[in-house]
This record gives sequence, C-alpha cells and structure tokens, in this order.
Amino acid sequence: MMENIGLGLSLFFTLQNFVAIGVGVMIGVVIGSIPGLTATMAVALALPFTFSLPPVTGILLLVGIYKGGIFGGSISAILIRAPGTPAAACTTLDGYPMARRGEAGKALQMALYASCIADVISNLALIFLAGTIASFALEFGPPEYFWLIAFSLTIVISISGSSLTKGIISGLLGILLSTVGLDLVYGTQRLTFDNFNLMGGIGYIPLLIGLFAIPEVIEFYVQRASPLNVSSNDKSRVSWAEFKRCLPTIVRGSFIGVALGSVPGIGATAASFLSYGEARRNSKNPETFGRGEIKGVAAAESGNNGVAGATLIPLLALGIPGDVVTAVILGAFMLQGLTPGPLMFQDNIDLIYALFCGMIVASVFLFGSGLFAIRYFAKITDVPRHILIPLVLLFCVFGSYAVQNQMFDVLIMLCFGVLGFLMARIGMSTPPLLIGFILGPLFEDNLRRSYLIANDASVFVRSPICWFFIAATALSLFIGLRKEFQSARAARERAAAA
Amino acid sequence: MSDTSVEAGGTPVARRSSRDVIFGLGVAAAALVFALVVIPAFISVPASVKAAPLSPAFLPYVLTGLIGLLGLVCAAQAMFGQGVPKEDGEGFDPAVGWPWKIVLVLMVFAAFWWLPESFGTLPVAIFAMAVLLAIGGERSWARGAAVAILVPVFVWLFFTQVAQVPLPEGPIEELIAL
Repeated sequence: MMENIGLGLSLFFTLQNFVAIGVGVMIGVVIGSIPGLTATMAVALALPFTFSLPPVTGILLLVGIYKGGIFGGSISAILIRAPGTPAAACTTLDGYPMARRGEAGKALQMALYASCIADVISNLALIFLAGTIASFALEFGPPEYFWLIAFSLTIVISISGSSLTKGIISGLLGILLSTVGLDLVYGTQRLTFDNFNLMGGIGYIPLLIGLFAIPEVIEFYVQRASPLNVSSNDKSRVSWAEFKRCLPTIVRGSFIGVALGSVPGIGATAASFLSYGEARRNSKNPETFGRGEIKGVAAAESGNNGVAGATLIPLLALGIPGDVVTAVILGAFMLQGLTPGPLMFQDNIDLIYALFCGMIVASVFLFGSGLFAIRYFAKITDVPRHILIPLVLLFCVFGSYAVQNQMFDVLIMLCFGVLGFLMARIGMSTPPLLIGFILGPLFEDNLRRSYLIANDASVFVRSPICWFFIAATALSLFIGLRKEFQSARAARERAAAA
Repeated sequence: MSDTSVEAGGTPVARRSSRDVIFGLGVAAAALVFALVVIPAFISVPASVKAAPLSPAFLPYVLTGLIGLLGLVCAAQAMFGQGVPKEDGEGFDPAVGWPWKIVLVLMVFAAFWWLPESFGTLPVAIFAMAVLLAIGGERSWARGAAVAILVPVFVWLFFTQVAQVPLPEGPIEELIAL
C-alpha cells in the first residue's frame, strides 16, 4: 500500500498538476458566479482541453472547475440574489439579507469557510469511505429512493416563510411544474400545450434565475424611493465567536452533503436545502432564518459543497456518475482510456491516490481563490443599484439563453420572474417551489418504477432502508409542523405584546 | 374584511385578510378548472396503463387535489383563524406608485423576448439598459449613455467570445462578418 501511495504522490507532484488545479478552481469560481453559467457548463467546455493533457492533470483541471463553480455560485447569490448555480439558491435566503444590511463581506467569508471545510470533509469521506458508502448506495432501489426523496421534501416545512399553507402550496406547485414534458414511461405529452419547446420540460436554470433574481429587479423599479446601496463601506468579517457558533452547523451540513452526494441522482441543491432545514430546525431562534442569519449561509454552503467530493464516490468506486458534472468527468476518464469502477482500484491505484492528493490540494486552492474573489467581487456592492440592477437583468437574459441557446428559455425566465414577484407579494415563499421542482421528477420516477417492479404497494415497505426513511419522514413532519406552529404562535404573541 | 385588523390591545395583526381569502378561493377554483379541464385535455393517458400510479395523469391529479384543498385551508385560516404577522416586504402597498414603472419594466422584458431574433441581442440590450437606467434614476446623460453602451457590449463580448454562446446577432451579424 505504501508503495502505491508513493507512486501516487510521484504522479501528482508535478508543476502541471498544481497549475491545472489553480487555473481550474479560478475558472470555476468566475464561471460559477455568473448566473446561468453553471459548473456543469464550465466542466463541459473545458473537457476538450483535457485531450492533450496527462490523465491526472486533465481530470484535476475538471475537478478544480467543479469545486470552484460550486463555491462561485454563492458569490452572486449573496451579492445580487441571483444564484450562479442551482445549488446556491439556498444561500440567497440568508446571504442576500446579510448583504442588504451591509454584511456582504461577512456572508461571503462564511460561505467560503463553510465551503472549504465541507470540501475537506467530503474529500476525506471519498478517500476513506468510498468502498463502504458505495456499497451502501447500491442497496438503494426505486422504493428506497422514493422514501429518501419523500424525506427530502419535508424540508419544505422549514423554508415556507411566514405561511406554512402557502409554502406547501408552493412546493406542490413546483412538483406539478416538474411534470411538464414528455412522460418518461409512456412517452406521451403532459401539459405541453402542444408547444414543442415544452416537450423536454421546463428548464430549471431559467426557472431558478427567474424565481430568485428577477423579483429583485422588479422590486427595485416599483419602489417609489430607490433603496440604498447594499453597502458603501463593508468591513464586516466573521468573528471567531461566530465561526465557533457556526461550526456544528457546517459539520452537520457537510455530512448531509456527503450522504446525499454519495447517492447518485440527488445532487447539491437538495443537500443545501436539507442542510438549511436541519440547521433551522435545530436552532434556538428559527425565526431569524431567512432574515440574514449567518448560520443559514453556513448550512447552505456546507450542504452543497459536501456533495462535491462525495459525488465522486459512486463514480470512482462503481463507475456510476452521481450527477451531470460527474458524468462529464466520467467522459474525461474514458477519453484517457480509463474506466472508473472496482477494477480501477486494482489496475490504476496510483492514479487514484494522485487524484485524492489533487482533491485535497484543490480545497487549499479553493480557499486561496475564494479569498481573492471575495476581495474583488465584494466591490460589486459599491456599484450604484440603478446601474447594477439592469446589469443583473442582462446576465439573467444572456445566461438563460446560454443554457440551450433558445429564446424560449428567456421567456420562461421572465415569466417565472413575474410569478416570483407576485408570490413574494402575497407572502408565498419561492424556495419550496424550487425544491419541489428539482425533487419532483425523482419522486415521481421512483414512485412509478417501484410500481413497475412489483405492481403492488407493499414494495414501499420492502426493506429496512424503506422503514428507516418512513420513520425519518414521519418524525421530520411531526417535529417540523410542531415547531412551525410554535413559531407562529410565538410571533403572534410578540406582535400582540408589542 | 381588511388586510390588517386591530386587536383589543390596539396592535395591528395580519388576520382575516381579504386578500388571503381571495387567494385561497382563487387557488381552489384554479385547481378545480385544472383537474376538470386542463389535465383531461393536455395529458394523454394510454389505454395500456395497468395501475393508477403508473398513469401519466396520476401525480398531476393528486397534486392538483392537494393544492385545491390547501387553497380552501388558506381561505378558512384567513376567515376564521388568527393570522401570523407579515414579513418584511410582504403584501402590496397601495401607497407605492408603481404601475407606470412596472409597465415599462414589463415592456423591457417583452422586448428581451420578442426583439433579439429580429434586431440582435446587443442592440436590444443597449436599448433596454438605456430605458432601465432612465427609469432607475440616472441623472447624467453622459454617464448614462456610456454605461448603456459599454456594459452591454462587455457582457455581450463575454458571452459570445469567451463562453462561446451563439447569441442572436440580427443585423450586426453582417457587420461582424466584415
């Protein structure tokens, strides 16, 4: 084993690898911070550049872009409420309110710390637990997935805002919107209204940009008095006490990210919302969440970055890509003549160790690049709002178009923008709609696949994993609802006493 | 019924909101129309479907039913229950003079969807930027013109040249070709 580690280290310690990681992370941070340009897109665009590179260098370049992209998404989420990546949508909930009250620097710093810690934990999980977690993930069939998604959907309760009923309606609406398109089992049209643009369903990037960024644009113009700039002289920094207070949240979020990331198909967005929901549920002051609570930023960022390393677990251990980005990375492996899976741990163990080294180094580079990015990106908050807001709209329009190169996505983005604005005005939270929209297809797909397997409802209680998630779902519903009712009662009492 | 009512102690609390009643009943009515008209018309259910959960219409029906039910719950809460204080920025403020600005913003949105394929993304972006700067309160014509031209050009160059996104170029495609 020591000989293999030595071989891996000698394969890794080249200047080329360090440059590839550094460049990759920096590209990822910049691309990720632009709404519409996702980490997936950046990794796909960089794929052709890896042809001429050695295998380790090429793959580390892509891994660097991926990690940088996931963190980069939080920058625009915090500064302009336009999540650069879907996974950063949850960061807007508390990051943007912090920026509005002049604490953009603090929010960005906490996002960076949480991202880097989660990234390291995720990497360590990959290095030490890849085999174990991958074999556990293999136990998941459609019924187990169904209950895992049902459990994840219970976070809607925690992110429903002031009205639980409206929040649940929002979540259900999100699932309903996710059913638009061609039916996966029968291939028939569902709610496409004979529009061929809708046959592939509603794009989640235009929906995401529309729901989160456009309401802010409209809000700016409907205000009689222009709001003040987000910050003119932001010197806010995370204190040691705040960091210590957030550390348990970061560690919990990281493990949630690792757990969900190692199960193929769940993704970073669900992990960030689940981590956020758990942080809120465990907080003594849940009412501060959504109003600029630093723990909310820590929870969201640790959740989504915890996924980054863990999605490589099923890829490296089983050869199964956990999400779209790892599918592209799988393509890079195959272009280099390598096939990830159990055999790779026998035939190319030196390469595996070199990749592990590279991923740890990428976390360090992420920290350095993040500090650099925060310093300069935070200047965005000094741009006058009446110039910044049209600029945000330009990025939203161009970014939505860039997803599939079609104007229809721009229309979708604008429509969801207006919907998001109206929802905010009637006190209906938009994050549940997003989480319903993202988890909806997985929920329905696994429901129907379970029925296809057994044609009997008993399939949903077939294994201990099913029972575990049924219990977790019931418990989560009970605790969540009880806490929401208590919070609502406390809010009424405070208002009455005021 | 008013949007906010005054409790015995003189404290305004959002309760019995007529808007929430209208919202809840509207949601329930929309769900009913969706279930009775839209789903049957726009979801094809093959005859070979063996079990209800396998039908393409199963989940939409369940979701629509739940949404309708929750709409009624929302209306009932607004009529009979005690409301929760509103969060910051929630609810329409009739004092805010927004209609003409929102009409202009919606027109800019429509231009962004309708015009790029005919006129090109860049000219439309410059036009939109200029309109938004004007209604946003830009006072300096020189600075406004510079920002309205330079910022869209920079963003357009980034997307077309760096990110390689083939944005509709309209008439300027020929200029670029020259």
